[in-house]
Order: sequence, then structure tokens, then C-alpha cells
Amino acid sequence: MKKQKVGIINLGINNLHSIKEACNSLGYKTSLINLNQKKYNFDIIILPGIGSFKKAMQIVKKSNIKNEILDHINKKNKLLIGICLGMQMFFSNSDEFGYTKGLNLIKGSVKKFDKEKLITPHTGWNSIKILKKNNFIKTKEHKNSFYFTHSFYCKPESKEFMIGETNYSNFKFCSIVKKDNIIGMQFHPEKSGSRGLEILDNLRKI
Amino acid sequence: MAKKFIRIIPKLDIKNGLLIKGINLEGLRVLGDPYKFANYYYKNGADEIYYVDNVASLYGTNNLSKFVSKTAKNLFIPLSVGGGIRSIKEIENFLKSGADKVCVNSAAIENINFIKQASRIFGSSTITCIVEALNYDGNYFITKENGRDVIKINPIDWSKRLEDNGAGEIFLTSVNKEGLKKGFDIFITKKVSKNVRIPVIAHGGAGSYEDIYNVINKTNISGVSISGLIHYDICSIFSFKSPKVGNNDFLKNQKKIKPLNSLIKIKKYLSSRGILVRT
Repeated sequence: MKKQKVGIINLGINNLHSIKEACNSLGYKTSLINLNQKKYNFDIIILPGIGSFKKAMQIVKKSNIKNEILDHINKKNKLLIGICLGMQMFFSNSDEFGYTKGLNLIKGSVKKFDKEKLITPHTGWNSIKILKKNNFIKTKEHKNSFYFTHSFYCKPESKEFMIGETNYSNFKFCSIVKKDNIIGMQFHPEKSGSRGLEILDNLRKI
Repeated sequence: MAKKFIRIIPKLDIKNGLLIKGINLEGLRVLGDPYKFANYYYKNGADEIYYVDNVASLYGTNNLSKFVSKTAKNLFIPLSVGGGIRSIKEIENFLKSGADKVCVNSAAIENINFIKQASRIFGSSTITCIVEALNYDGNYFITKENGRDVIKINPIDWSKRLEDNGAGEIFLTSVNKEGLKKGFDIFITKKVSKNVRIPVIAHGGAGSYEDIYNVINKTNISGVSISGLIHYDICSIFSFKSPKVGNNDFLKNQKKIKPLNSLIKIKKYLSSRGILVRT
């Protein structure tokens, strides 16, 4: 059965409008998930995010979100999507404003770009080199098709889960991660024009 | 060195719900419905859209929220919003309406801690700082309220301070060059963009494709913002009834012309000269 129901986690610090409108435009039934909501019933849950890792994790810790997310991914035929900060929160820890623990769904850490070498934040359009065959982003390399805006990047412990890699001024980082039914994207599919919408559309087929 | 990717960002100045365009940030003309322009640019390869409420800063009002949500509904590229933003609450409201970034000038000059606080809450990449650079007899100053108030601070030092306080991007406007279509202020753009390690967007003076190429080639910027160069050419293709308010002579007297300076053409030109752009 095709996935239809999308829940977007509302941490209260994000721009949720864009991702909601993008999903709606593709025919998903989209709703926002509030912090104290219980017993999620969605096919796809999206953890979106711009903002600070520490602040976002503080909000998550005070709520029931982690348990609900774990319940969700343990069920059959479900997907968990993290966008930008959302992807970073899937990892074990981050350097942002001091050491902060993440959701630890994927082993690895979140690091800051070296400002001496790279203009930070990395804001703009960039390409993704696809390292592993998958069914939501197909062609080998998408030229400057995806919008990024971030100062931190994810470094998974194992290369096994790296689906896509992006080269920013000769520095390569993981831009798509996938472990079982968990997918993280460092770029913003909801802000990447038609190529981004294509990826969101493909999620229902996974 | 790796080739740098350049963003092309149409800037839409809005007053009372209408797209306007001025010269030296003053002398405003009414051009049309901003929503239609934004949508047209999105479909023609804009990398980002920048909405500014031109009088918000002066009168402390901001009517932009409703345009932001209307625009964001069908715009799947980043949308930046500026004009008179002075509080955390206003930033939050814009982000909730569908903006991805906010642009701040006056509030930062009045209290630099505002930038620090805002970037802590919303992340640096959400906070763009506008720097209005004025060349007065060879000396550079910053201004606020669209060039009306001159502040005796050098734009190079000021940009560095904004970076140190958490700004995620500098939107650098040349007050002298704005609206004249005679090229960018390469000197100050070069100085500012080499002095910070955050992205710098150059604005003010784009009159030809070569002007855009020159400012990219001679400085360290990450993007170029244009308005008049593309607005004037496409305002004739929309059937837009002249409003009763504002300086609408331009709209009433214009001839029907085919658009000359489309974004697609600008990008093709830049690409042919070795600049990395999204096509």
C-alpha cells in the first residue's frame, strides 16, 4: 500500500510551512505533530529543522517524541525522515555550542565546518553524488539541484549507511544517510525546486 | 581552488502590497503584483527570492506576513524576508509564515546583541544582515532606513562584527550604485567579501550581464541580487491594472515588449564565462 499520511514534528522553532506545503502539493495528507501528542499514526514522520541542535534536543528530551519515534520505526512499512537539523539529530552527538547528545538512531557525530577553509554556513545549491542504489533518488549525480544551508555536517561511523555525498569547495560530507527505514537529508528537498519535490514524491514508494 | 557556486537572487521591494523599484533606494515607481513576479522568477531559475517591505523600517509596521504565506505556498526555493524586523517574535512569525531567512539592518545597528540572540535561537543560517554601504567623498559609511540615516562606521569593520555576533550572511547594498544600472561597487564588495568567512551577496548597480560577471570575478561573493535589470523587462508581460495609488506613470505609459533580460539568459551568459550557476 502506498504511503499517504505524513506527520511533521513541530518543535516550535522551525519553518514548517514550506515542508507542509510541499507535501500537500504532492497529494500527501499532511498534519503537524505537537509535542505532547501520543500514539502517532502516520506512514511517514518528518523531523524538519533549521535551528540549534542543543535547543532542539532540549525540547525533544522534555517531550515524548523519542519514544513515539522509536515506536514508529519499529512498525512495518513506516518511514522516518530527517531534514537538515532533523538528520543531524538522528546521530549520537554534536559539537554545536558544546557537546550535546542526539537521538543516537545512527552511530556517528555532527561536526562544524572548518571556518578557516570553508565559507560557513554552506548556503546555496550543490550536487549530490549517489554512492548507493536506492529508490528515491536515482541518477548518479545531480548537478547543483539541491539547496543546502548549514554550518554542521554529519559524520556516520560506518560508510554502510552513506547514500549520498556532497563536495563543498573540495570538502566531502555525507548529504544523504539511510539506515533501514530511517532517511536523513542534509539539503532541503522542500526548497530544491522540482528535483526536491521529486524526492519527496518518491518516498511513498519506499 | 574549487570553483565557487553563485546564487542569483531577485530582490522584490514591496510597498502597500505592490512591487516597487527606486533609484538610490528612493524615488519609487510602482511595477506590479509581487506574487506574480516571484512565481515567474521561481519558474525561470531564481535560486532564492528576497522580499523587502521598503517602508516598514521607517514606520515600524510590517504588512509582509500575508504576502509571505501566499508566496511560500507555491514557491519551493528559499524565501528571504526583510524590512523593519526588530524582535524575536517578528522573526518567529515570518518563519512560521514560510520565510526561510530574515534580513536585518536597523535593529542590528541599534543593538548588536539582537543578532547574537537571534542566531542562537534560529541558527546562523536563518539570519542575514543587510549592510548598506555609502561612499561619501571616498570614505565609506553604513546607513539605515534605506540610506536615510548615515552611521559613522566602516562597512568592512561592521560586517566583521556582524559575523562575530552570529550573522549567517551579509547582504551588501551599495547605496550610491543602487538603481543606476551602471555596475556594482566592486571596491567595497571586494573588501567586505574578503574580510569575512560567511557568504556575501552583492546588490546595487546591475545594469548588464557583464556587470554581474565583473562583480563575481573580481570579488569573493557567493551571490548576486538583482531587481531593476529583470523587473522592468517582465512587467509588461503580466496583465496588471495600474493601481490608483503611488507613482504609476511607468506602468501606464509602458509599451508592450518582450522580456530581454530573463534569468535564464543571465545564467547562460555567466555559465559561458566559466561561472558555476544552477541551470
